[in-house]
Amino acid sequence: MTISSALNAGVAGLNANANRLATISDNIANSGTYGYKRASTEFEAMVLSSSGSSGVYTAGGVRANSARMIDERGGLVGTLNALDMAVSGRGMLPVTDMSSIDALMSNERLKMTTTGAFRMDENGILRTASGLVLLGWPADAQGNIPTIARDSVAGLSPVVINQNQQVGDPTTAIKLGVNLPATDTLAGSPGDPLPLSVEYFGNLGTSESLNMTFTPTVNATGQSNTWTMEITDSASGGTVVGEYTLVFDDTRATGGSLLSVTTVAGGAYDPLTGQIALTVAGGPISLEIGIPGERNGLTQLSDTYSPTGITKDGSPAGTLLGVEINEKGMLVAAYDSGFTRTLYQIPVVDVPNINGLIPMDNQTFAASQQSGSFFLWNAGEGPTGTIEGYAREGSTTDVAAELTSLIQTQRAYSSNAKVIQTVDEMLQETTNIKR
Amino acid sequence: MSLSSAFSSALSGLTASARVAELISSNVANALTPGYARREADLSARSLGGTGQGVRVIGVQRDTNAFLLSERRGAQAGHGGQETRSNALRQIESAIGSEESASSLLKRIAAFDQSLLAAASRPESEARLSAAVTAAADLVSHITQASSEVQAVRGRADTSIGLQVNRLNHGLARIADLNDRIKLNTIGGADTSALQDQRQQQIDLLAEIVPLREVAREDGSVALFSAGGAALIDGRPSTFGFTTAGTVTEAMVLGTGLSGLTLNGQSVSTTESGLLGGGTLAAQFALRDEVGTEAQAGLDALARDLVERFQQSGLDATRAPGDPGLFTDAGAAFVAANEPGLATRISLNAAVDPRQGGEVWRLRDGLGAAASGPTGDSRLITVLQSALTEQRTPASAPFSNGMRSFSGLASDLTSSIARQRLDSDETLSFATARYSALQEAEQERGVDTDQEMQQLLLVEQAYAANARVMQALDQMLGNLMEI
Repeated sequence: MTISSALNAGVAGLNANANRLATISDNIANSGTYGYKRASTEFEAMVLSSSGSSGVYTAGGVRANSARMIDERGGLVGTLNALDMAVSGRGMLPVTDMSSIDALMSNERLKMTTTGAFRMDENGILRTASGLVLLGWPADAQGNIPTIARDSVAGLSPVVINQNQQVGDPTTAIKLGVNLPATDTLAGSPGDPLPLSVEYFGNLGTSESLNMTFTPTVNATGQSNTWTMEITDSASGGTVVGEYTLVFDDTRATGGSLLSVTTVAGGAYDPLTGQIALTVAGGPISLEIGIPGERNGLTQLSDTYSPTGITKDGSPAGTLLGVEINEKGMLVAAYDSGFTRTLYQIPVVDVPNINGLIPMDNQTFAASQQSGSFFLWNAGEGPTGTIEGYAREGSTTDVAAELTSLIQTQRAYSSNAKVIQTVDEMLQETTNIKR
Repeated sequence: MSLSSAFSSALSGLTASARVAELISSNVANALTPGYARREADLSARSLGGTGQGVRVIGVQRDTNAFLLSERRGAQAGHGGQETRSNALRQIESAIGSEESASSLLKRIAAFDQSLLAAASRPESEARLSAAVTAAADLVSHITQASSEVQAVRGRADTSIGLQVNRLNHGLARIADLNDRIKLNTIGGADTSALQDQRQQQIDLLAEIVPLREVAREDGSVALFSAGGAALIDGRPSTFGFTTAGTVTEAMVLGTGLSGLTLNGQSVSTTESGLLGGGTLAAQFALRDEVGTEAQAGLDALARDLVERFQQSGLDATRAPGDPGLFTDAGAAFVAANEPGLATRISLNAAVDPRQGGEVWRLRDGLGAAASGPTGDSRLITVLQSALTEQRTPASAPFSNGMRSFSGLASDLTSSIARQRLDSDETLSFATARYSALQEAEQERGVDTDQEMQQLLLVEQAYAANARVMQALDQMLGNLMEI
């Protein structure tokens, strides 16, 4: 009987709209939730009688289908915390539950999220207030990331940052930019040695110094343009680690640059690189004094001694000052003595069908049969976006659109109710035929 | 949702305006603070994932002129050094006494000369003989006082070097400390302007001692070098070593009794042309080791000439050979090898000095006379007077060319010191003019309150505009809710 099918269709319509109302209310409730992906309800018509020719129409009603739009991306919102992260583009951050961190990592335990406000807890574990722990590939002591399988979580480990540990940064290279006074090698000048002390940092983070003296060779007549450079190391108890005879050029074309360097004692000088391989107490240090004929490094011009262009790497031992993430996903620690070092690389997880991911609590998602298997990309490579620090991804909910849809849903709901009311009245009429 | 990102942009605008207003207020408040550099906020558009997200303050710029700063510091060192030198020369000059002053060396010599003439005219007069002996004693005490004043100047220079080395060591340690804190704050992303102001003030305090060259390093710290090329701070601070002598006597020179300067344990030259030349430190060393010793040598030469004039053989028949003359080297006869420091030891022969138990008539009768002779005999006094005024070639190196009377020699010494002082004063006036001109130029570049007020107006408008945007956004959301 068609009139009862109309009643059924009306009830189905009420149901479907109630469903849509539920998604709208969820969306509006989460309009301020970072990383929230909007849920949407699609309506599908149901057809019961395909034969329209019989003159009888049976209303099939409507069926509601809810889905989460995971591939929609919310706008990024700037924050003031370095460890607020969001992926700008496709892909998600790998995280896991607090309860899973002691167990061996397995593909099932991997969860993904597009954004998170990570903080260090008392154990140095980087996690969100909701208990999501950030995962990354640990770097070695030099800050390099080893080669790791990209299709499994085997290499991933929870990001743990040791707050109160001292870290050293030994010096390995020093470059001398020093001008020696040419007039000091003239006959009759006093020939006083010029001192220079260059600080370097040993393997144990201690501050040591290379003490150099430049002594001019003063001949009875003329200008010798020759200096003796003697280097002593404070870490080796002041022993001489190198002595070199430097001769400078006085020609028109390359005047003032090095002409030749003769090793008297200590590590050899390589004229191709302009470097001396010094052996100090803590190991080798390359001391760059310049290539013969080129005007960088040591020069001998005019009458001023100017040891102002000395550069070196290395820093004193430092404690952690802060951690930041760069757009390549490298978690970089800054130490209070001025150097930085990569601690972890955070990969970006991508799956072939993003909308096939299973939504879970706390705006996380898990891989499923429908999503396809995951792959760990370097941030910004392949299809994935970069990782942004100081940013959160906003909710994809558009309150204006939801409110509009709320009006429509309300109207549709009342219309369905009106249908039921009308069917009721019509049935009443039928009943009233017999008195 | 774009409305919420608009909110966040407007908020960032409010924050940035507030920060700029804070900097302007700090600028205006410090308009009269010396060493304060005007700050300016560096604004930059903020973008996240390629989309605009308002504005942010990426840093605070200190508006300094490195060239002017380094010129001013150089002038400060030059001025300080020259002032030290001029002051000390003025002290030495006043100790010897310039030609004009009443108590000058020349006046003392003239008084001695005249009292001898007076005694020769009436050799029997005890009073005239006493006056001659007193004039001789005054001359001796004038020379010894001048000599001890010269040593006092050297002593003060030595003490001052000790203090300056202390100031350098402490100042460099403090600058290194500030360097570290600035480095730390730079890494942490905090505003380092106030620390940089402090560091600049600390460097300015040291700039007078040694002329400084400041070289910025990439991590926010600075390296300091002396103009001569000594590294004072490059990473960690250098330490200077110096031992103050306490009392300086004429026998103490650099190396024997007086300390030189060490830099990180290595001894360095302290001359004006050395690594640390050009400031007050090198000037004090020059006073102690050059100007002071030269003045002492001049006084010694003067004293030697005086002693030798009255120690010539044949002058006084009663004096045994090898006995001291009228003026002695601390009571004994003078020998040429003992010239250094004679000016402090010179004394009047005890035989004529009543204060030392002598008798004034020995001036008339001879230093070796046992008893008073004929009271009318003025020959010896006349001989003594002519010994003082005769033209004679001084034996000491600085004055050994040309014959001079004793007062001629004294006049040469006085005028040589006066000429040095005048030269030094002239250089000082140049240095002062340069220093004050650069100081003025630096102050002119300070905070311009008019400009700050104009900026403040702009900030006020920007703040209001951002607030208006927020109000409009609120209304838009309100409209949505009223549907």
